[in-house]
Amino acid sequence: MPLISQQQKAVILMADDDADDRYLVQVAFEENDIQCELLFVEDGSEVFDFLMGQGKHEEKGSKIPNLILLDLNMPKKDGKQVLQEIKALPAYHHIPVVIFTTSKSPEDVRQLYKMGASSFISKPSSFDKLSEVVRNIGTYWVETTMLP
Amino acid sequence: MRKQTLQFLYASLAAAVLLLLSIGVFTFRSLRSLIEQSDAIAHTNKVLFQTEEVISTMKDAEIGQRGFILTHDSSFLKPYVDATQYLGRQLKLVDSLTNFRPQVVQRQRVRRLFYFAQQRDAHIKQLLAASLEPNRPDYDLRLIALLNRGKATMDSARIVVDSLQQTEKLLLEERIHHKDQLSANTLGLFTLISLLAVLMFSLAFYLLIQEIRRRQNYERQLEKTVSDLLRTNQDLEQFTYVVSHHLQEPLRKLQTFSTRLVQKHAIELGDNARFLMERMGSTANQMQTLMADLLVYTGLGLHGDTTDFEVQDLAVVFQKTVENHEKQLSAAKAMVQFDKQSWPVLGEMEQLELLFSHLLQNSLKFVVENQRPHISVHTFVITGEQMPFATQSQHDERFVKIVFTDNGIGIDMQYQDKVFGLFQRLHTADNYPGTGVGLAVCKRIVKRHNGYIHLAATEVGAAFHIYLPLAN
Repeated sequence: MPLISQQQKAVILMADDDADDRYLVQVAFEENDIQCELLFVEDGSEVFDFLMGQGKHEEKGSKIPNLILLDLNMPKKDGKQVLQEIKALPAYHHIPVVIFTTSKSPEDVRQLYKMGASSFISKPSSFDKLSEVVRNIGTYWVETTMLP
Repeated sequence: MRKQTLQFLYASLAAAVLLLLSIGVFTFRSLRSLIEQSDAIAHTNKVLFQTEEVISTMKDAEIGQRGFILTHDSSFLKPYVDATQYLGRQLKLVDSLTNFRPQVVQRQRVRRLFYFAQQRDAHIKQLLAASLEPNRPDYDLRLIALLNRGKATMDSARIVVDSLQQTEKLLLEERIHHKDQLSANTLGLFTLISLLAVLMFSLAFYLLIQEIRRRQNYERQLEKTVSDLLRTNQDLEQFTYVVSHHLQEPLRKLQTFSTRLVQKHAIELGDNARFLMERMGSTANQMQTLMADLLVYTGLGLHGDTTDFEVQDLAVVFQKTVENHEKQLSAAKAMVQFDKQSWPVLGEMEQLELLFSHLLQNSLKFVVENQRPHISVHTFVITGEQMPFATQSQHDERFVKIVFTDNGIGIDMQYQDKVFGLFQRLHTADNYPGTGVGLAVCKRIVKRHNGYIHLAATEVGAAFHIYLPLAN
């Protein structure tokens, strides 16, 4: 039984500039029937618009997601910058940030954990694997762990 | 052009040195002649002076004699007595002055002067004796006769001295003229040669400065080229890294979409289309592996400066690598032999591990069928001199020589260079999977650690010799 009630669905924010990736992840979430609200932003600076309810997100108002899936290679602000700024802001630094990227560089992995990333996931190259990864995210972050 | 300038430089330097040497020799010889001439002039002057002295002494004697004859006062005889004493010495001096001369005439004249001086002395003695006998009837006549003879002798002496002096004066004039000419010549030639030497030195100096400037320019250019080259190299590595990194993204999506297509629309596609899709998929996979390997390979050069290197224990590095491959090794039932020597080497743990990891994987991949893989690693310390391909500066350094051998299918020595090339393969991917990046990565890592790796000839399997500088 999910730890978060139906009324309070977990909010997962995915920051990725790639429309294909957003589409594929959304399909994988739907096919695995993950009980959460999956929302998207398209670049690094939009993450903060979302968090603070500015710009595009002014009407919806400020919203704090339970989990952030963060891509590294993004225009305007890249993933590392976003992570650094989130961890520097007291209002947001409790949000678990999962790095979801193409990079497999051990250097990146080390550096991002050091900066406070909660997980580092390398984007898989087949849909089966992607589906598996998304299923695991669902099981672990939505059903197993308590999110703030 | 450059060779010509150098030759010209050497020639002008040699000329300048020769000119300086000739100045030395010439000056020495001129000075010697000048001194000789001065001596000769001084000698002539002395002869002139001494002959005059002789005449003057003879006159002194005559004056004394006259006074005595007139007064019979013996005090008048003093100048006469002195004069007779001097005269002997003076005559001897004149004699010695003219003795060595080649001029026979002057010698004869001096002898005649001697003779007249003796005559004169004899006359004076006779006169003095005669003057003491005033009572003799022929007193006056004798006196006058003796006086006349004395005068005649004196005149003759005078004539001899005059001719002596005349000759010496001519000689003096000649010598002074000679000396003046010599001085003028010496000064002129000295100035000329000195100017020439200065000219030659200036020319050599000018050429030298030009050559130095040219070399400085060349050096600057070389430095610039080297730094440009380094930067270009870095840019190129950065470029390769970034390109392979970014190309991975669309490739990954292609793979994802194709697997999604096959999975979701399998029935609609039919066998033929599914087969083609699978081929596409495996080609994309192969490309992904290649790019990943390329990333590893180019990433090695981007790991910052080699000054960040730390001392690593070779035994620890190898132990760690073996532990990381525990599964693979036990699956292949491989035996690994390692002498566990704790040599310290300067390097990056991760890269050294990668080096041994690739060598291990290589040995596990290229095995002889139905044979247990046997890998052995032996290490020992050698000096740079014992190392192949060592540069002169490495001769005094100490290196760890790592001999890595296996009992696999081995590598033909004719491919000893090719096997270290990027993406170079000796077998088809069907027989032995892989992209051919392993040994290229090894070579790159060893090179980055200022070492050498090469394939060694061996009877069984493959052997690699790796040399890494020993840390102090």
